[in-house]
Amino acid sequence: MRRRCFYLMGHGPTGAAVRVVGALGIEGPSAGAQWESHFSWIPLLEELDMQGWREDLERARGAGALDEDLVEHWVETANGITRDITEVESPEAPSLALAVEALVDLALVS
Amino acid sequence: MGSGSKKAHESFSVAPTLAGAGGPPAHGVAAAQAPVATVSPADVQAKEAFWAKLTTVELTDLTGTDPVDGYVALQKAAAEAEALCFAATHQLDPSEKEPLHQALVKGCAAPLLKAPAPWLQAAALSQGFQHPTLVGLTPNSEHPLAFWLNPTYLSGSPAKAAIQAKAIERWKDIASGSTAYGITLAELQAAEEALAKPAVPAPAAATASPPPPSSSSSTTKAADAAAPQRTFLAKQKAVEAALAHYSASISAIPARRSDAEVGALALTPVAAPSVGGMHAKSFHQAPDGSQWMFKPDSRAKGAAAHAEAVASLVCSTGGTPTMPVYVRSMGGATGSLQPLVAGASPLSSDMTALSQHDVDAVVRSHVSAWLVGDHDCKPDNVLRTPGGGLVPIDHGQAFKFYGSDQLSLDYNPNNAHNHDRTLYQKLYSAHLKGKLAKGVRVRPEAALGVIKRYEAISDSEYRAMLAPVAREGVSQKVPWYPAMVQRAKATKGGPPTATDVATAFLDCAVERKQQLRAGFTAFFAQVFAPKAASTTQAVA
Repeated sequence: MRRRCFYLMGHGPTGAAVRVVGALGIEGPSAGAQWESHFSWIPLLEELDMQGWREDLERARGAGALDEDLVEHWVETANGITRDITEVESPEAPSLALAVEALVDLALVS
Repeated sequence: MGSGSKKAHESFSVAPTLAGAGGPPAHGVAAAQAPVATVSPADVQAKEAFWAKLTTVELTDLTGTDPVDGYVALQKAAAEAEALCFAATHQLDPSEKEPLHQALVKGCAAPLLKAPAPWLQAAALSQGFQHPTLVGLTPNSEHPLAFWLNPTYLSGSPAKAAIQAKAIERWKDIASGSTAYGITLAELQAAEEALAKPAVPAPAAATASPPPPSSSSSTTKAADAAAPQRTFLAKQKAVEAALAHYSASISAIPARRSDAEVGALALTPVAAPSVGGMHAKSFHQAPDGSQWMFKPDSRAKGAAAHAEAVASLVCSTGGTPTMPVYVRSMGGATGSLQPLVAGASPLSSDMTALSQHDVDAVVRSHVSAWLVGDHDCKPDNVLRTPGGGLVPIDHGQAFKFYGSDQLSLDYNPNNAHNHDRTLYQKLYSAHLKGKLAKGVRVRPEAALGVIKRYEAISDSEYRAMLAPVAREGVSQKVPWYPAMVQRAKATKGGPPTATDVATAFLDCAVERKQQLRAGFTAFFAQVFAPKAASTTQAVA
């Protein structure tokens, strides 16, 4: 089992996707090759700046497809202008959800 | 005359004589700030008073104090330091003020950053923060409440409001049964009751409420723009509006430069975002001030970058506004380089928000996307420019599925792992379901101009444009390679060479260009067939 955490970034005023709009964590694979995931958003941002991530994550979670392969695909293909994703060290936390929320807390004061 | 009467106005540099001339103390956050400025002795005195007060604030130990009283005392001391800061800086230039203001902010943050979480929670609760136990969930990192409580940050700032909003969001999650945070609603309520020693003022609901949905009038605007155009004057106005829309797209795009010019650009790295992590992209500034983004193409060793650059060239040759992309080597890696456009925003995925001009622009860009085999055009791969135009930005998947892709309403090779439908499919689907704005429709004729421009490119010229894609793609055996090997085998009747495969790719590309008109005629027949059928039924 491994835990991987990422910052999700959306479009910013400079024209690049450098604004943190949320955080994503995945953990797995379990015995059944399943991946647990948790994501959380920075509140009160413009919906358009996070729209792409929100739609993709909710769709992937709904389809049970939010796994390491998909996240690596996003890392590979994010355009860097309207969206980007960057891996960060996972904070020490008793659960995946708390690790992701800790990243959000950190982004709130950055 | 001149015997010392000017002494009161004498000026000198602060920096070299910090120790005795109003400079920052030699410890803590203030020590790093050494403003170099020319000031009078009176100003020096004001600065001395500021630094002395700030040092007191900075060294305040809140641990063990009553959170309510302790915070009020901190607020008072911070206000005094702020007043002294103003007195010491009000006559300075903004660049000279800035270090002192930063020192003030950091000095006031220092005691809060050292305060234990329960103290911060109780102090925040006393200041009207709702559910303070639901932020700062992990120990050993900067507590969001230390930021929220910093008296030097404006109480209504978006950053403070976001912290409060996050706490409320988490509380709602827990209240609806979520166990993600490792705490139940009952435990949370008990913790908050224990915390609420003093009376809790009315919650700052106004700052915590999410903003109303933006672009609420977009549908109306879209409908307005699509009013029936019957008279000559109305038609003329429509043409003018279409030109304005096109101009808004084009004018936002930096002019395309030659590869040699871009290769010679002296680019200076620009600081990465403040969050940690490894960024695949890097940002740079050119001597003319323009901002650029570099994406290393490590996986395909430059082949994908060549494909993206050629796709952008093909699109702009066809008259589709698109961001210019270039191939360049930086830091030992080959990748794509493109300019950034400030002030734009991602296109909404709400199809009812599109005007007729938007729809026409999307149809035109669909022609280009099909020509270069780009099936990754999601709404957020299109920028809405400040003037209201549309600019597609990401052709990173150009040619990827060449040889096996289809021009159809259902074809989406990214369905498994990216997005359910492309922008084009969303648009045509909305058209078929009558879910575009009132009066707005897909007009096949919008595609004609772009098709004609591509038809005007000679086959040999087009082959030359695409040659780098063929060469690099064969060299790196990119995803289209197997399909082109099959095509070359069929043509040659035996095992193909690398040149045969590259030729097969170029043949395929030229074929697509030659069949563009026929392809879109058949495609639009598919798009409009169900509508025609339903209309017929309705009439019958």
